[in-house]
Amino acid sequence: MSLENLTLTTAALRLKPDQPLQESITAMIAAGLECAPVCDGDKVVAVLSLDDVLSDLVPVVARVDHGLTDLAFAGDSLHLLDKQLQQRLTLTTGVAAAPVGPQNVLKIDCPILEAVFLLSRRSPLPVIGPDGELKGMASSADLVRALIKRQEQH
Amino acid sequence: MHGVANQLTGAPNVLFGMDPLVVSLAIFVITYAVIVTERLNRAIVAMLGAGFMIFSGVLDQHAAFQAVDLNTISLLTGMMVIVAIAQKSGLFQYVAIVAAKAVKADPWRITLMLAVVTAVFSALLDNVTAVLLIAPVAILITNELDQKPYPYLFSIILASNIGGTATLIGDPPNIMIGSAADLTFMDFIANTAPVAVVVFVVTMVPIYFMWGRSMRASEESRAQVMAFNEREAITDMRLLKQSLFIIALTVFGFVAPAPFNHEPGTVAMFTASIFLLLRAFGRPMEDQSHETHRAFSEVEWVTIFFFVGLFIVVAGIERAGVLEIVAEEIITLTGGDLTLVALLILWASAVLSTIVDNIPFVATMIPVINNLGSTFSPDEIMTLWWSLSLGACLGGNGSLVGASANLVVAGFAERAGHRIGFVQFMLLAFPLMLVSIVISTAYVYLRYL
Repeated sequence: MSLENLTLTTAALRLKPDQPLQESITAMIAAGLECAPVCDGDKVVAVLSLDDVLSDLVPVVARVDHGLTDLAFAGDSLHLLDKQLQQRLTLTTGVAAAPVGPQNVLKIDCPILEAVFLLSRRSPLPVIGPDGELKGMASSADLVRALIKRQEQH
Repeated sequence: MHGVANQLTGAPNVLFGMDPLVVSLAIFVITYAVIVTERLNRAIVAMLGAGFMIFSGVLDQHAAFQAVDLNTISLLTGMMVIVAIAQKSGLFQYVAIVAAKAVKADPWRITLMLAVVTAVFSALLDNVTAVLLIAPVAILITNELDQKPYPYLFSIILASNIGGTATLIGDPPNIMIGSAADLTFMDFIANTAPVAVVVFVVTMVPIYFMWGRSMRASEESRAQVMAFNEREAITDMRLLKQSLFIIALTVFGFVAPAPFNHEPGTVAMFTASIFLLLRAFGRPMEDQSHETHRAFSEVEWVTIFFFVGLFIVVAGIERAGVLEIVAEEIITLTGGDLTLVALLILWASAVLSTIVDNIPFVATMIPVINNLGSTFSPDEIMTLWWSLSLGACLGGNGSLVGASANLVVAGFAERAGHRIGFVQFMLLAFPLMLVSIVISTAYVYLRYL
């Protein structure tokens, strides 16, 4: 069993690489999406997730090996967050989004166990075909629903 | 290394009847050359070199094992275990934040305070740990203050090597020298600490004129740093209290009078064991195993095995008589003049420690100085130990590759998006290192010669 056997959700939003990041984030929030594919034509070239947007606001010293593991002592540091967000919002979506990789997209022929593994860490994820074309979105809910349905059938 | 020269007697039985001097020297040169290229992990190279010394017949296994200075190995391992446990308490970040707030978040004074804190931690712990704990806090503070982190990191690097010079346990060369020459913690406090303090003060002056006097931060950003809550940095109050108790107990062990005085290796291993016991006490067996396993896994085994390999490689050339010849050459070259020998050791160790890791150099120089014992009195030999210590420790400030702490800060800074260039660092660090050696020269000359 692979993702091909699942009914995928149609992607509600396709972002463009040259779209301003702020515009993309606003569109995602309006559509209630945590994650959206960035497409060049039909091909997925990157994935923008709100988790990544937030993680980019964390000071780099807390994101690298041997860095700070706790920032509670630094207070709200709104000054730093504002500065970091301001810098990020000047970027285009294509630059700010994470390039396509095994962590942020699923291939349509992905075995179901691997899909469970990846979606348990981040959900939803875009599903791509052999040429990188967008096939739809897969979420934890899609997968759990499919697995329960299978149980009921047996 | 201590007493190895006396134990490794008897002619080596080298493979195919080859000359032990040639074989041991070839193994030594190749081992050190590969270490210098930094193309292979240094522990692998040192252990292979040690293996070749034994397989070629220069040393037998018994002699090789005797060559490993267990006092040095125990001291390093014990301190690494203590640091591995204590660093989780947040103690070091706590002190750094308190220091920054104590000077009202003034950028230059923060630079100075973080340098002082690093120097003190480096004197009591190993340099790499000290800089690894302080550098992330320093970068966060510079982010808040809208400052370039480079001057802060530069000062931290130099302070760690200067602070390490001050004590027996501050820098690996001192650990090796202390063990080889039977020097105590207080011997180093009395002999290297005073010059380390002077070098620290003199080093910070050009840093002030270079960057400090033009450092400005807005009231708003300084208020952000002042809003840091140092208490939040403490992740485990019980662990913090235990850490302070163990560090105090360890330092007491180093300075304790008879009948409590023991070799530093014994003290460090014993207090590390007490620390492990405190962490395990009253906990379920599974938690005890997890905590103990974690503490041991954070020991830098690469460094430990590097030392083991080096001790054996150096014992090989020592047994073949190479270091005796070197000692004789030094006497010939200097005419047996103590002043010239001391200054030669001081300057050569400083310059070489700038270019290569100071640990292999010191490991080689220890038996050379021991061999000079036939020419100089014990008091005069003591001058040579202090010259070696000052040269090797302070020489580490000359370039980014001069000491492990330098590379660790540079690596961390690069990951955090603030690259420290090799040449950029050396342009100021090398002259400052030379100044520190000039100060050391004056100190050695005036105090011992």
